[in-house]
Amino acid sequence: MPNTLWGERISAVLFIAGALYMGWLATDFPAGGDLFPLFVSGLMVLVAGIMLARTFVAPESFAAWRVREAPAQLAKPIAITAVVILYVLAIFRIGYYTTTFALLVGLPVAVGLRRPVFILASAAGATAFIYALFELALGAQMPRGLLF
Amino acid sequence: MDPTLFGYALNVLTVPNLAAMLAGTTVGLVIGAIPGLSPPMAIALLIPLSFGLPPETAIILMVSVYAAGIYGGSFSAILLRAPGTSASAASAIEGYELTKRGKAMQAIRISTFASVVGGLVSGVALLLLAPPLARASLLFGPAEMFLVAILGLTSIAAVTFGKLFRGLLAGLAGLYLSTFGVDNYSGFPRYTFDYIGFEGGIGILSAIIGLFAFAQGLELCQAHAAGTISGVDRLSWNLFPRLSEIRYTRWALLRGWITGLVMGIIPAAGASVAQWVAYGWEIRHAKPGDQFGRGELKGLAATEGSNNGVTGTSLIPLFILGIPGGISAAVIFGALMIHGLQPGMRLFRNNPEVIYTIMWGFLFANIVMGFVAALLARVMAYLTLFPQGVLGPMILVFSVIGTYAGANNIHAVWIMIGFGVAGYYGQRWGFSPAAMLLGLILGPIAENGFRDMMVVARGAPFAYLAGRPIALVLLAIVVMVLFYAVRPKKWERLEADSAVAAETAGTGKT
Repeated sequence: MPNTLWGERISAVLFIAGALYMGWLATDFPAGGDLFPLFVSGLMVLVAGIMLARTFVAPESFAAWRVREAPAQLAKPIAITAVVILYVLAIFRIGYYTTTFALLVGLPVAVGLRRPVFILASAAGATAFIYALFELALGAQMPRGLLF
Repeated sequence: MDPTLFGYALNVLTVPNLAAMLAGTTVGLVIGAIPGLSPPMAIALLIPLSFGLPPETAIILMVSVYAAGIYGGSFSAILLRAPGTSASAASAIEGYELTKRGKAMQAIRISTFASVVGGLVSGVALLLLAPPLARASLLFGPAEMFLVAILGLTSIAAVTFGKLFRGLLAGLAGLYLSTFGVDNYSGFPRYTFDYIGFEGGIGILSAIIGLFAFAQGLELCQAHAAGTISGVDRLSWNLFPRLSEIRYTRWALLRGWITGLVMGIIPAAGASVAQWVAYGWEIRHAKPGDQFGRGELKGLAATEGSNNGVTGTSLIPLFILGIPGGISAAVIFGALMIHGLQPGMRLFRNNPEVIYTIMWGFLFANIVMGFVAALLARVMAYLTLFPQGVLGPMILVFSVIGTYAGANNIHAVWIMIGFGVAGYYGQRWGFSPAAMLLGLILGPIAENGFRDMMVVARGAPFAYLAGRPIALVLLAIVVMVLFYAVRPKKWERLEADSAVAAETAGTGKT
């Protein structure tokens, strides 16, 4: 959660809820397998509890934390992660080298770089390096898919 | 000590042995620098190639890869905040901050010096002190292992940089994640949530690549696309450290090397733990003006000194007792057996010329590594001049291929991406990714140590601890570290008082 008073409170509550849930799940583990997770649960509830209490006892100490974060700024990494997930899924359909080259050309353009020759050269260089290292030197076989 | 010990040094100076060192250090540095490709993997790949070599040349090749692989991981950690191995994760904190401030070559210089000398010191300990240190390693039982893990966990407080509670929660989340998967003791699956990817537990590889490399890829994709990491467009050609830099970091280097030497003989601890203990130790020694978390050379010197300080002493239990203390040592163990060498004291009795040649080879390999590393790092440093809009996507691609190649299954890639998103937002909001990684690395050591201790102690752990001097010393160190972690230093109190006074004067209050 963001670095704000309410971010701190929501984080603490979420961690307490998570720790209680994980602790509850741990009670089913046999042969002493529950000891360590329960210990961690207890510690997490304690630390998050102190963190929550601090927001009420000394709220003024969080005043300096107020940092404005634009929603678009927070969402961009999620969008890029979604692109990477699609890339991983496409590797097995289209082929490793084609999708990798496409990503290395497409993503720089998408994030705002306007140097086509450099982008194409670096994408070709990186793809060739991966081929040389993994296929030729290490003998690994990358997924081929429909293309290459 | 064998009286002809120094005579074996000359055996190393043959063309095949020197070629093995050069090849081993180059392969180790390159493989170590790529996230996902680890020194054990490189050593294993070289075993078939070594069949035709004499045993000592083959093992010199392996130990050269091992020593250089640990250091190679630091290149990408320092230059790109994408550590190549788990042993160099701590170096990513100060090293990358130095790179961002345009001091990449300074960071590389001091890390090369710390690593080379750390490896040499460790190699000398391997050569001269192996038998007594091997006996000392046997004194580390479950209680000591548990306390070593707790000592490592105290470093969490050091890496939170002002967000103590959020950092502690990230560390505890890491401890939780370390319990995912089938329980080694009962065979019962814990926290798998019916997802097959969690059955085998969460690999350190996915975590480290996700928390650091993938998160860094996202960060660079967010930044000004045409800009570079450091904002500079030229790199220095000064490859070797200046006397002033060595003098400035001398105590940090010494503390790092000592930490590495000690951690090396503790089975399963290794460089992954040593770097955090050294880093935590260094932060506790911070002085006014030190810039920990914003690019402090002393922090980098300590982590780099410690992770290579481990390399020689971690081979001691293997060579003397025949007990591999880590994954790399286990692969070297296999290589020794393949070449007809039985690790243990018999090796010293039956084949002293071979084992001492290997030890000398390890020492010389560290010197060779220094020169190769200086040149290779200079080449790699050009990456920092790439536009961030190109570098970010490249790091994302290498994170995926590195994880897939290292773990050999797609689930590890999904877990890595999950860690990547957590690492990105964690770094942004103060839930330290380093603390989470520390919890994940130390969790199994702490849990296994604790459970074994409870079995050995028959339910009376305190009475058991009271009878173990090393455990008591470790316990005292843990208590001392915790005490100093919560108690602000005198200069910190003075700085806080002067800040309050300045604020009061500014507002006109009395």
